[in-house]
Amino acid sequence: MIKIDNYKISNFELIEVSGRLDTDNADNLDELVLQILEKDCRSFLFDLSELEYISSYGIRIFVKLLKRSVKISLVVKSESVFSILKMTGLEDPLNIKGNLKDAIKSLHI
Amino acid sequence: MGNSKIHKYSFSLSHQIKDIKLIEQAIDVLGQDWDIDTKSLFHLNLVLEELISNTMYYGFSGMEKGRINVDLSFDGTYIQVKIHDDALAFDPTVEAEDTSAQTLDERAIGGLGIMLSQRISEDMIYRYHESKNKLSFKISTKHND
Repeated sequence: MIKIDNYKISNFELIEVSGRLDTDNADNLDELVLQILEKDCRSFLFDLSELEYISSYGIRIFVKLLKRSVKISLVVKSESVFSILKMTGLEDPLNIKGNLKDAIKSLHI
Repeated sequence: MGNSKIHKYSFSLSHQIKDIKLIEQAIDVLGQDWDIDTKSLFHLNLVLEELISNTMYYGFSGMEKGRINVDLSFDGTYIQVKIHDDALAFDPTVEAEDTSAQTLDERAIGGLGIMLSQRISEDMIYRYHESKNKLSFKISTKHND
């Protein structure tokens, strides 16, 4: 089960993703991100505070954005989700933060 | 439940990607019936999803039917996993590539799932026998952190 909400906030798009981000539903987020990219948005903040599970199908969405030189930040609170993201070796480029305030600040720098 | 007892659970999936949901359902059952922490269940879910979705997308590509059987057992320390399927021969232990040290530009979008599966699982052994892929590995439920 996944829940996705998005909001346009000043110079970035805030996308809240909760539940599970996996093979079964990653396309939902992927399509939303592509739609927002078409509007020339170049900064994304993914609030994953309520995310319980992520697989490579979810992580690929973030990797694709990084490859397009889009600025992103992830807010991660689950230790298990964080450890999987860390395992990819993309901890720094994914710009992972522990709270929204730090994530917003990082996008404004 | 005492750890001296060996717990066993099996389930089966068709070759269709819609069946990937059955993995989550199986994990929910284990979470209720076996004394396993959420991190280990997360790891088991992830490795099963990565390997089985790969088989569904590529191993059964163009085929009209197929079957994937998963046998799980738990001895109190390790979850032992056996996956048998009749898809095209595919050895994830060979295909796996550790991309964690590569730069962003060097990385392929695909291959991430197999790499994660390799890093989380232990003793992954593959063989192709009597037209079946037979994969076994184990997931530790003891964490250093």
